[in-house]
Amino acid sequence: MKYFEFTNNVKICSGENALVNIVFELQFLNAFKPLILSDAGLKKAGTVKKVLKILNKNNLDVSRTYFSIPPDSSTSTINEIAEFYKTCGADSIIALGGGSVIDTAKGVKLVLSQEKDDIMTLTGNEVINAGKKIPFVIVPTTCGTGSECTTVAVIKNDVTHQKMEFISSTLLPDVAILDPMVIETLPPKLVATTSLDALTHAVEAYSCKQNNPISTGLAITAINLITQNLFMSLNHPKQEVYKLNLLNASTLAGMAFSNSMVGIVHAIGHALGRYNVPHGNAMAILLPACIKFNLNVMAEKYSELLLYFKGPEFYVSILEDERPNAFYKEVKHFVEMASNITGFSLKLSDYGITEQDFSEIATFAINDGAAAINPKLFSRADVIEILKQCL
Amino acid sequence: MIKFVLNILIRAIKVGLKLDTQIAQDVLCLPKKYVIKINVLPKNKSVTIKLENGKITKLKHWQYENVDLMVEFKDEKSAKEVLLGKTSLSTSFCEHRIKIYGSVNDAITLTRIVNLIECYLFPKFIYSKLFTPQPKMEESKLKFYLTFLFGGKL
Repeated sequence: MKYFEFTNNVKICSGENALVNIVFELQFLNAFKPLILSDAGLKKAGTVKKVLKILNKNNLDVSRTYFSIPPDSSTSTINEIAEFYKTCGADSIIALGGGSVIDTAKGVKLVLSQEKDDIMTLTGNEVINAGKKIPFVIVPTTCGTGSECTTVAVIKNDVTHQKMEFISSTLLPDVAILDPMVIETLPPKLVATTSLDALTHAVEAYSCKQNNPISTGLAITAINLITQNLFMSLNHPKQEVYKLNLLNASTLAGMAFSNSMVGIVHAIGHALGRYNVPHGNAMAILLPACIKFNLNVMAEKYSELLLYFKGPEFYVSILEDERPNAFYKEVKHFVEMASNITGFSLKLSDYGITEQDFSEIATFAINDGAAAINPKLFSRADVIEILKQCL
Repeated sequence: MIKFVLNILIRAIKVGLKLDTQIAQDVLCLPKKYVIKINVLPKNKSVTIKLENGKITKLKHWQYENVDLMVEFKDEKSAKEVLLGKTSLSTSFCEHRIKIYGSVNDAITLTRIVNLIECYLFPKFIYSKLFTPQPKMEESKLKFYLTFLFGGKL
């Protein structure tokens, strides 16, 4: 690529007791009455209560809340919350959750900052101006989406049921709070699948057409952190340090892919999302098969990635010509190990996908925004072939 | 010059729609009665087309009110690079040289159509550098050019 742009103006507060800093950070942004967004799952798990307690203890007004965000961010939910924000007298937004909550909050911020009533009037790529300042803090509760540092929000259109991508640097929050406390009760299956989502972000950020020197560096660090900490975290779930490293990896991978974008794994993964295949699981299933698909045009990049994925000793022990294929095999092995330890399935059929669905999934995949960024052009037939391998 | 090349592109898409079923299939992916505008900044040189019942019609500026999808080049140099086959539309997108108003998914469909049209329009030594692997053309370039030149009103 002859030219690149890199955007990230998010302040990252990472580590023990990071949550306490929210109060100071909001004050710095002249905000005192946040609308706190989360979902029913986190409320039920007690995470919301724990976070609210900390914020309350630090004299933050936590009376404005909305905890009914559905698993798929949708246009109507966003418009409804934006309206609620205006009536409840809030002056800022705190998003506490995974990808869906964060993308919903980004959508709400977009509607409010552009002073519109309907998010559908704001579709597009790089077409939105900075707008009105809405102080915005994100607290991710999984170690996978990296959405706290991305310029993208994926939102379902309630009318067409299409997952739409909104791309703008105005979607970035002011602050991201990475506190391992909020993911201490995250089940091992979710730790594994969300970390594999982050690994996919890093691998695609490193190898896609839009990659650049800055995102390359971030992707390498993310890969190192994930390979060194995922199994340690699964084997020692009470040790916070491993989970914190995974949270950091997720954010780094998010920063990387936000500026490099993602490719075929996400194009097919977004299409599978319409069939309710959880995003992290879809990434784990598709990543090895898609690496295999890209192998002939990405040999050099995958060869380099083997070094970061397995370390120098393993790298030099493999003949140069065999390194790209070795990378594919090692990623496959890594994903299978995570699946064996935590018990999530690597077969699409276990998520209700049948061969009859392939044609429609393939059509959605080739029209996904990520399809344009993959280093190798792909067709409906290519997607169907990959899906067959994953059934 | 930009306006002239844009008009060539539109005629080439019309020819492609007639000859290549892959383009017809992609046009079917787009919503019915769909208005697309390609605009080049800073002087707003543009062409606008309407897709309706599988047909493409070029519109004058007074013939439409709303545009469903607008692909806008931030500057003329970037537009020339794409339109003259020096770079692909997707690379231009990757380099942040294009803005998209409307559905990103529909813009991807349009990108695929333009990719294939560029393969018909340009010699292999040009388009082989743009795409890996190269899109497969269903018709011969000769037939494409003959239809382009002598196909009348498409």
